Order: sequence, then structure tokens, then C-alpha cells
Amino acid sequence: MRLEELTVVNFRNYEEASLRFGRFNLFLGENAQGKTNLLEAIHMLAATRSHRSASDAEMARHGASSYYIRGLLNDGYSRRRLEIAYERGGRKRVTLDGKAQARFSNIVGLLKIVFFAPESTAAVRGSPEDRRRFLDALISQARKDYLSDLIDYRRALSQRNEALKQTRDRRMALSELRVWEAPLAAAGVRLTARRLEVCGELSPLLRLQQERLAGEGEEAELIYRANVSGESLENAFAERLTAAETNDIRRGTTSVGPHRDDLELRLNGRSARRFGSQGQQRTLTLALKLSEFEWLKAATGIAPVALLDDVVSELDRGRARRLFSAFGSLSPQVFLTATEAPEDLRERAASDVWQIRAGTAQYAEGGG
Amino acid sequence: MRYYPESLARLLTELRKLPGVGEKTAQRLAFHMLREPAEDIRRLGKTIAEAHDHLTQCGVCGSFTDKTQNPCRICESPNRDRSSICVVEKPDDIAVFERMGSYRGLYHVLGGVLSALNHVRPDDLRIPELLSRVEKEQTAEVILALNPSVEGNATVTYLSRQLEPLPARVTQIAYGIPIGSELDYVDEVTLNRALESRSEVP
Repeated sequence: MRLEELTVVNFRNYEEASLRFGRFNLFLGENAQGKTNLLEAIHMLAATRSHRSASDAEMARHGASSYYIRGLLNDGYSRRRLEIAYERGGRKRVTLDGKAQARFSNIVGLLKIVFFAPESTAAVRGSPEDRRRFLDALISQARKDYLSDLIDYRRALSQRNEALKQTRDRRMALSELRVWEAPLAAAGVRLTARRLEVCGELSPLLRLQQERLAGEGEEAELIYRANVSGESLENAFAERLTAAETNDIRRGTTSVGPHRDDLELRLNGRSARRFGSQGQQRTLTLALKLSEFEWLKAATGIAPVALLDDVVSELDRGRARRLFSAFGSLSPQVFLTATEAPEDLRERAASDVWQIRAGTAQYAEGGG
Repeated sequence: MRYYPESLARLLTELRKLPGVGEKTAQRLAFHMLREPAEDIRRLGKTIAEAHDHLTQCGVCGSFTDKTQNPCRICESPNRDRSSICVVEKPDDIAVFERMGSYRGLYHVLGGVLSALNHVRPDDLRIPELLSRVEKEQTAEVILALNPSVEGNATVTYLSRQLEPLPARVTQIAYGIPIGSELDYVDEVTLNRALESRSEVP
């Protein structure tokens, strides 16, 4: 699936812009002119939310009360028109070929992407929450039921947390509190099993990519630390919830479940977050992105589109070159932002270039 | 709505309070009513008001019934199978079952589902009434037909535990692929649900 055309209205610092894309697309410009905003709009089409976790109101242009994004997608057989419209005070509306979509999970994964930005290192360096978000975003693109389980799980979790508080204040009986265990465990077990499975597939891919980037000496490993584990996840979940009940009531919050999972990235058996140098962490992030790409391709049979935000400043030239050549040969479409055209790309004839300045995109050159 | 005469603006405001009615629909309905003979519209208004005045909650199942007919027609019918009770969230759900026509048992309307976040408790739903009904009437089967939401599933859990000491068999309707639809048009979540509750080929 490729993005043929993007139109944004009142989105971030763009009043209105329409761009027709080729296979290599380069957004050039100084900082804070709107390069990343275009990638954000593409991320919105892919995931129905911002990669920066921005709220809808934040994404409306300053002084405007609404925004609109339209993408024309093409998978070689058919074209689809995907639109996202938001108006202040209302809900975001997503339509596919003019049909309103009640479930956003039907849209997520239509346009598959791998997003690489300076903040992507959070998956290696950041908090457990950053790493869960990385995993959730990846699996949601490939497995539709995952996103719906995630939504159910969060809903059941907030119900149980509220019930815990009411029980603590002696406004609810235990028998009533416990009704939330079944829906929580049902979705929780499915999330845990899926994360285990995907991490098991991702780890060997990561090892291979790290070896290619850093040489034989650096063995990378991805270990999923499930909060609930055991032969039978169902039984383990139920037992853990029962054991934690008294404490959970006292704290008014649920301490058991996949919202407490973590992901550990290791280099030669040691935590990359704690012991890796900055250079190692960057290389590992790059290897992780490349394995994400490979996994998505293997899991869905479709190669994702690559969005590379400001990677030249983040990576040294050697790593940047490897990144371009990898995504360049594998991905059906590449979007790249930079302050100046990277040398390796200048040699590439077939790229479309836009000059981005203060919320305008000026088409500069194209090779088709 | 400043460009409308005051009484028309008031009508539009009232119509827009109805579910599924936005500005355009309200306008279409209002102009239609104004074109109709006054007598027809008066009858419509009267019918709405009378329905509201004459209807009440059935003392047994909790659905709507006329004040002169309480318990409701289904609860009173000698032709219904009194050994089974189908539990639904709201009266509208009974209409769906009745249109289908093949269910011949009785109903029980809960009036919602449990929600800690919205402070909906078992006593806010018609759960005590259900329990005493099942016990008193020696019901053989209780069919739980709630929506498959997080709250619906929690309510199913609660009901099945409350019903456990009673001899009634407790069942839950199956969720899966709508008949008449092609497999490749079914969304993945529904398909997964259907796969999980697959059954032996008879």
C-alpha cells in the first residue's frame, strides 16, 4: 500500500497543502517549518492518532477550530480514500471511501508504516510505558483483534480501579468488585499471549539486524517480561488477581496485568538501557526499526512504508547510509525529512523533493 | 436558528432532543409537520402524550405495557413457554427477539448493565426482581442476551454467580458471523470471537 496523495487543511502550521508522492519523498527545510507535521499527518492516516501523542485540539492550526486530512491510498489493485476530520467540541470522524467508520480498528493497519524519529530511541532508553507503546503500535498494525483487546482491557482496567476505590470506601461489596476480573483477565490473557508470541518472533530478527550493523561481536536480544506468566495464563491471571486483591483495594489500583509488562533490550546479555553507550543505543534503535519492518512484512505479507524523521542528524553517516539503502530497497515508499539533502540521496535520481517553509510545501524537483 | 420564527425554533429545539435527530432531520420533520393538515398533527401530538400517560413498566418483566394490561401481554400469555427467561438490557431488545419469532419463552429487562464508572449497581438494575422470579417460578433456563461489551460481560459474570444456588440452567447467547454475510466481509474481531466459540460439526 502506498500513499499517492496527501491533503491537509488547518493541520498544525498548514492552512492548506496538497502533495502528490512518488517512491522517494524528501521534505527539506529549516527546523520548525513543518516537515515533521507532514509525517504526523501520514501517521494519523495509518494509526488515527499522532505519533507524538498530541490531542486533536493541539493539531488544529492556531486560530482554527478544525482540521482535515485526506489520503489517497493505492495498493496496485484499487484506490482508497481515507479522510480524518476533527472539529472542536466534537469527535474525530474517520471515513473510508466516504463511509463513516465507527471502529477505528478497521482503519489501523490499512496503511502500514515504520516510523523512525529521534524520539524512537525511547523504545531502548525510555520507560516501560514507552516500550509497551512501541509494541502495541506494532502489533495493532498487523493484528486487528489486538487493538480491540487493548481497548477492552483499558476499559475493564478503569472499571476495576474505580470499583477498588469504592470497595475501599466501603461503598461496594466484594462480590461486585470481582465481576470486573473476568473481562479484565479475558482481554489481559489475549494481550499477554500475543505480546509473547510477537516478541519471540522479533528477537531473532533483532539479533540479525544488530549483527549486520555492529558486527559479530554484539549480540542483541529482546526479552518480554510479562507481569502475568505461567503454563496456563488464565489460571495464573485469576490466581494473581485473587492474591493481590487486598493490596489492590488499599491502593485503589490494579497491580496485576499486561499494563505492568516490560520489554528488555539486551546487548551481550546486559541491559542496553542501563549499560549501553549512546552510540550502541542508537544502533540498537536502528536495528529495532529494521526488525519491526521485517516482522510487519512477514506477519502481513505487505512491506510497510518508511517514515524517517530527521535521522541524518541523529545517526552518523555510515548508519544513515545503511538505513537509506535498507529501506530504499525494501520499502514500497519512503518519506524523509532533513535540513539538507543527504549526499547518498542526491545520487539517487528518482526522488521527489519539497522545500518546506512556514507551513507551505513547494515542489522543488522530481525524478518520477 | 435566529432566522426562524420563534415557535418554529422551539419545535426544532424539541425535535433535536430526540436520538438520531440532527439539525437537518429536525428541519425536515418540522417542515413536513407544518405542511400536514392541522388535525393530523394534533392527533400525532395527542398519541405521543397518551402513549406516555398510558404506558407503564410491566410489574413482572420490566418492559413497557399499558396501564390496563399489567403484567404485560407476553408475561400473561398462556402460549408462552414459562420455563425459560431471556434476560436483556432494554425493552428494545425484546422487540428484536419478537420480530425473529422463534423464541417462545419469557423475558426480563435489566434496564442497563453494571458500571463502576457510572455508578450503576446491581440494585439499580432489576437483578433482585430476576432472582426472586427465577426462584418463585421454578424457571428451568435463564438465557443471558446482553451486549458483548466489557460491562455486558461483567454483568453476565455477576448474574451467573447470583443464579448459581438456584436449580436453573444458565446459558449465554453465542456471538459470531451474521448469517447471509460473506466470510471476507466479517471484521476480524467478530471472526475471532466466532472461531473461539466454534462447535463440532453434527
